[in-house]
Amino acid sequence: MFQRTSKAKSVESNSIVFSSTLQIGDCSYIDGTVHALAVQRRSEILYERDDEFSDYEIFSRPLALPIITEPIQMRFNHLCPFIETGHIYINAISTSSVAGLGNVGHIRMKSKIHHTRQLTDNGKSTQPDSTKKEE
Amino acid sequence: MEFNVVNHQLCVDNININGVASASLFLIGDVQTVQLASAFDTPPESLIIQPLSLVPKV
Repeated sequence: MFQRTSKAKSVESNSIVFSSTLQIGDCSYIDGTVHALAVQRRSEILYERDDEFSDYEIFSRPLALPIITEPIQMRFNHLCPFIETGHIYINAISTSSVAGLGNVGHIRMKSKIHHTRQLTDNGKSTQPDSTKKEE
Repeated sequence: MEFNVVNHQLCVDNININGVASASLFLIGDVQTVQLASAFDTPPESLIIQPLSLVPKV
């Protein structure tokens, strides 16, 4: 079924960070997951017990992945056996992302991100984060 | 369902991408199935404006 060959003149990337992959060649499965708590704190304070994934509901709630159930008869006719590209430049590949050249069987990527900003404004009251689980 | 595809020539010029992030995918090639899911939470209450103190959390 997969007989096409991917051809790229060159691949260049400035940085590949946080479990990201530059995949050259065929593979059967790609399964990438990222859980991220992005905290912006305008202070150099580190709490003894900082926030954890279990403190937020988003990380325990299951992600609704589209389920593949439909029985589809797929037939491909590759008249040209190549996929050609010129020079590829990717500045950054980050947080469980994948840049790939080649054929892949199945791909599943999941991402969960929670943003929090903690700013100081002396005297003003603060609201509790309603998405945070009660202790 | 029957799905017939005829792939003629596929040839692209240079590719320039600034960023691929957060379990994203950039692929040159054929693939059988792709499943992508994402949850991004920035509630208004996540903007916490308070005097930050050195009192440790319980």
